[in-house]
Parts: sequence; C-alpha cells; structure tokens
Amino acid sequence: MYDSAILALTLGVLTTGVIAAELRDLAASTWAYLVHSLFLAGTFAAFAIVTDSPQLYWWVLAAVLTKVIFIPLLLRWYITRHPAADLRPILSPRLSLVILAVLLIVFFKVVHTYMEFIGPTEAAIAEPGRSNLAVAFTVFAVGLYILVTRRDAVKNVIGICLLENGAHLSLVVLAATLPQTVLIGIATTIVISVWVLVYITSGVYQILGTPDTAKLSQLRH
Amino acid sequence: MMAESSLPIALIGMPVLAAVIVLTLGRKLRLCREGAAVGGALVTLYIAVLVAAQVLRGTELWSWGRALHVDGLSSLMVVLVSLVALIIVVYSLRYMRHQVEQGRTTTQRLVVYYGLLMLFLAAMMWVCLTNSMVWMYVAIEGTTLVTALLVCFYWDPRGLEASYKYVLLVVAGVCFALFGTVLLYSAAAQYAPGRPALLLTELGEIIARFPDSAQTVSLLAVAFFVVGFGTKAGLVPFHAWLPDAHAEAPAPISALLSGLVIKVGAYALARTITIFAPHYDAVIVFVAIMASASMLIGIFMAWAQDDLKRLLAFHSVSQIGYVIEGLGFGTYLGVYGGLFHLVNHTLFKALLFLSVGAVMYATGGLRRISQLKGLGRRMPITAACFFIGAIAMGGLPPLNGFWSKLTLFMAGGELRLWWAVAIGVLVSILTLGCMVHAGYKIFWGHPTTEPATNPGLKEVPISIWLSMAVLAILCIVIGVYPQIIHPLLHRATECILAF
Repeated sequence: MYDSAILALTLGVLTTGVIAAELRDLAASTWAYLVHSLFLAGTFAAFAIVTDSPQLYWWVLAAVLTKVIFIPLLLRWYITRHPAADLRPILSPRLSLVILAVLLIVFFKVVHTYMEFIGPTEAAIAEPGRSNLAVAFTVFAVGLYILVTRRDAVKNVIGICLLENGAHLSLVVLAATLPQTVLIGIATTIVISVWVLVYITSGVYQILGTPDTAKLSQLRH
Repeated sequence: MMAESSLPIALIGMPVLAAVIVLTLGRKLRLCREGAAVGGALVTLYIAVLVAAQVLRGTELWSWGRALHVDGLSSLMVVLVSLVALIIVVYSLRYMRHQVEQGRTTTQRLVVYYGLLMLFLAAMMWVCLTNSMVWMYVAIEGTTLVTALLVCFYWDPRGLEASYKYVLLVVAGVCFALFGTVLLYSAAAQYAPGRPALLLTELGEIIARFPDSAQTVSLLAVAFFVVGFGTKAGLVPFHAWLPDAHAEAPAPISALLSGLVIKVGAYALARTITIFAPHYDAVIVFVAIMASASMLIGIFMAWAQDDLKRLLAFHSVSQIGYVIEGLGFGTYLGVYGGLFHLVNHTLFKALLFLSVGAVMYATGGLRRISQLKGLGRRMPITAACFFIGAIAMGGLPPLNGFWSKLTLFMAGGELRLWWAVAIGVLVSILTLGCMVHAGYKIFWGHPTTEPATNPGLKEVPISIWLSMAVLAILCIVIGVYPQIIHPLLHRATECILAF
C-alpha cells in the first residue's frame, strides 16, 4: 500500500512541478509550488515509514519549514510588493506544453529504464525507489527547462527551487542516512539562495521597472 | 601525525567575529568598520600561517571530531586566501572611501561591504577546511551568495544584472555537484559499506574499492562534478556568469572573484576529480579537452575586449583551464603544476584587477582601452605593477607564471598529450601578446589626450599602491626563487595523490 502511496506522491511532485512551471499567473504559480513542496514532504514521510528510517522525519520537518513555508512566503512577499507581471514566455504556451510533455516522457523513460547505471543500490533499482529517482531527475530537468525558457525572474527562482527539489528527492533513495546537520545545511542554503535572488530581483524591478530577464541586456553591449 | 586542534575553528571563527563587530558597531565607529575588517583578516592570516607551519612539520590537524581537517592542500589554500583577503581589505580602505566621495555609495553602506567581506572570508575558510563533501557544497553556495551581494554593491542596473546572472547560473550549476555527491554516496554504500562516504579523507580509499561495474556511475559523478564545480570555476562552457560579474563588481571585489572565488571551484575539483583520474584514463582526456577549450575560448574572447575588466575576466576563463588541466592529469607533476598555477594566478590576477582599479580611481572610472593612453608617466607604480602582472600571466621568465606553466607542459609531455601542450603554449603566447598590447596602449607613449594630459592625474594613494606592490613582489620572489613555495605545494600535491 505504501509503495502505491509513494508512487502517487511522486507523481504529484512531478505534476505540480509542471503546473508551477506552466502557469503564467505568478501568484497561482507560487501556490502550485507550495502544493508541489507538500507532495515532496509527503514523499519523504512515506519513505520514512516504508524504510523505517526515523532520521527521514527530520527531512519532512526541514521540507515543510523551508519549502512549504519560507520559500512561498518569500515569493509572496515579492509578488505583493511588485505588480504580478504576466510576462509572455519565450515559447508560446502550446509549444511549451508540447516540449515539456516530450521532455517529461523521454527523461522519465530513459532514467527509469537505465537505472542500473545511475543508481547502483538495490533500493534505487527496485520500486518505488526506481520511479522516485526517475521523477527526481525529471523534476531536475523541468527546473532547467524553466531557467532556459522563462523570462520572468520569479519563474526563474521557481526553476532553481525545482532543480534543488529534484536533487533533494534523489537524496531520499540514494542517501537516506545523511546526518541531520547536513540536511539542515542543505535546506538553509536553498532558503538563503532564494532570499538573495528575490532581493536582487527586487532591485532589478526597482531600477528597470520590470522583472523581465530578457531586458537584462545592458551587459551584452 | 594527526592532532586535535582548535586552530581550524579559529580560522572560521575569527572572520565571523570580525563580521559581527563590523555589522553591529561599524555604523558608529570607523575603527569598528575598517579596523575590525583589517584586524580580522590579519589575525586570520596569522592563524593560517601557524596552521601551515604545523602541517609542514608533518602534523595534520582535526577539529570537531573529523568535521574540520587541515592537510597540505587545505593549509596552502588558507594561507593564500587569508593573504589575498588581507591585501584586498587594505586596498579597499582608500578605494571605497573614494567611491563614497564620488557618490557611488555611502558610508553607511560600507558597513555592509566590510561585513560581507568578512563573511566571505569565513565561508572560504569553511570550504577549505571542511572534511565533508556535502558541507563543502553548502560552503561553496555560501561563497556564491555573499559575493553576489558584493557584485551588486553599487545597486546600479549593470551590477544587478551581473549579480542576478551570477547567482542563477552558479546556484543551478553547483546543484549538479550535489547530484554527483549523492551518486557517489550511494555507490559507496553499495561497494564500500560501513565507510564514512562523505568524508573527503576517506574518498580515495572508497573509490579504490569500486569494481569495474561501477565505471558508469563513477564517470557520471565526475561529469556532474565537472559541470557543478566547473561552473563555479568559470570553465567553458559554464563561464557565462564570469565576465559580467567580474566586470561590474567594485574593483577590489573583481580581484576577490578572480583571485579567490573561482579557485573554490578548482579546489573542489582538486578534491574530487583527482581521485578518479588514476582509475579512469577517460577522465584525464575529458578534463584536458574541457580545459583546452576554456584556454582557447577565453583567450580569443579576451582579444576582442575593449573593457579592461572584461578583458581580465576572459583571461581568468583561459587561465583556469591551465589549473583544471593540471589537476585532471592526476600525476605528481600535473597536480603540482595545477596547484602552482592556482597560487600564481591568484597573485597576478588579483594584482591586475587591483591595477585596473587604480587606473579607474585615478581617471574617474575610465576602464576602456580606447579611452586611455600614456598614463605611465603620471602613474609609474601602477604601470609597473600592471606590466609585472601581465608578464607573469604571459608566462615569461623570471616571473612566477613561467614556472607553473613549464611544470604543466612537462606534465602534459609526460602523459604524451602533445596536443594539450601545444594548445597551452599557443594560449600562453597569445596571452602575453594580449596583455602587453593592452598595457602598451594604456601606459606607454606621450600623453596627448585626456585623461593623461589632465594636470590632476597622479599616482594612487599609498595604501592602494602598497597592496599592489606586495602582490607584485610576491610574483617576482616566487619567480626568482620558486623553492620558497615548494614545501607547501609538495605537501598539497602529496596529500591529493595519497587519496
């Protein structure tokens, strides 16, 4: 039963990650990211129960504090102070959705099929670890996709968060025995990274009047 | 011999303490702002020298169980980092006051400047001293975030743009390194159960136990490390952040970025890829190709620049290629040459950025080659320092760059990688030409146009040129008498190869 629950949760992680990437309304995108983070924390909790690893509960706590509370709060802080610009992405929404769907299917399939080469442990090769890792790599790819195709600075911050979440999701299967102090360090780093990015983006908005990263072109001349 | 010591803790704690003093008391008292920064950097250097002396006597130091560890490589790095940080803090004293006079910043903001500088020093020390792969990742992120705030210190559009790109690209890039670490950790759990897989000091032994079937996961981890730490080091094709960040930061921070920050990536690669190189020949060739591409693209881009700071930034992309190539060779000569060039590049590149900063100080912020001519007569010390840095980077004897490049060429020859040696020699000649050409245009000839004809143009104040002079003297001393640094380099190389 727990295996199915983990699969459902990881699929939730993936789906909400894609929604956070595709929604053009920044406030809605932030909510999608919050739900994505809740699914992530739920996946950690399910793994804690299945593998009987009490230290994973610390991961749940860290994920809830940093990803469900602090990061959405930082993003909300930015959005409420600056008009939630709905910038057109570099690609049209339809084309973006098609590319993203192809990316998801190909990435998930390739990683899932060749897991023996990537994750050498038994936990990584067997289900639900196999699917979980495939999702982790796919979420990472979605984060990269956002960074490449989105013009809005807040969307890029969400892209960075998805990159980090992909890496953290892989930790559950591949490095579940990491000490809590290390985990706290990783979790703190991402919050500070987001704070610095939001702070700099505020400055960009203050001076250029837009969070459009395509307009950050002074240094190209 | 190994010994428990509180010195590694003090190396991190001292700059943190200085940062706390600067940030809490610096607004009211200049002494607590500038004095605490100079004092913090000075005491950190003193502790670093004490630590290095112990390591040279054959004692490796531990703190907090095995969380902090000082071996040959760490001791080399902490001395280098604290020395250059002290020089940059001293240079900043007059330079940043001048920026306040020019209206580019305020006295109140200087508290943030010196506070961040001290936090940066602490983060650098942490990177060099931690014995954990994951904490190294966290500390590297720390150096990125602190320096990002320094890059946009003037809060102008160009600085903000550069800073935004810097954080976005480096944080995303270093994420790959975290993936690499996770892969390595899981492989270690499979093939070397029970070993503390995250400890850098254990990594060599763990990887030696990997069977042939672990080749894919090992090479994948190497690729992730190269992407992750290569982004931080500014290696092509992950270098997009580097020219902008180096060019738009205040001049002392440009020296810090080029002198120290990109070396963090090189240090992390030294701690990781050098362990894989002896086991997998593919790693040596892969790294040599990446490094050669970095050398070539960096130098070609440098030739195309009119902006002096961007020119130096692209030279950093090129020169870091030498460092990474040497480390990737994985042989004694290769690693020795890579580390030697890391030290030398830190010294001459910091010198060059500080010299350009001096030119900007004297000319009211001009930094385009086409805007500058004949400054040498009025600014002889700056001109001399620039040419010493330029010739050192070009690899001409008797300056320090010559010896490290020669060592690297010998290492390439030893491995029969003649194509890599040929690229190295070619890039070195092009570097010399590019730098001498730039120096000639800026400093040589009769002053016929502004700003050289401006009667107000004069040499920079003593605290600025003295900082440059110390770096120039170090370039000459190490060039004339390279044995002076040999014990530290030898110890650092041995500790890498011992993995």
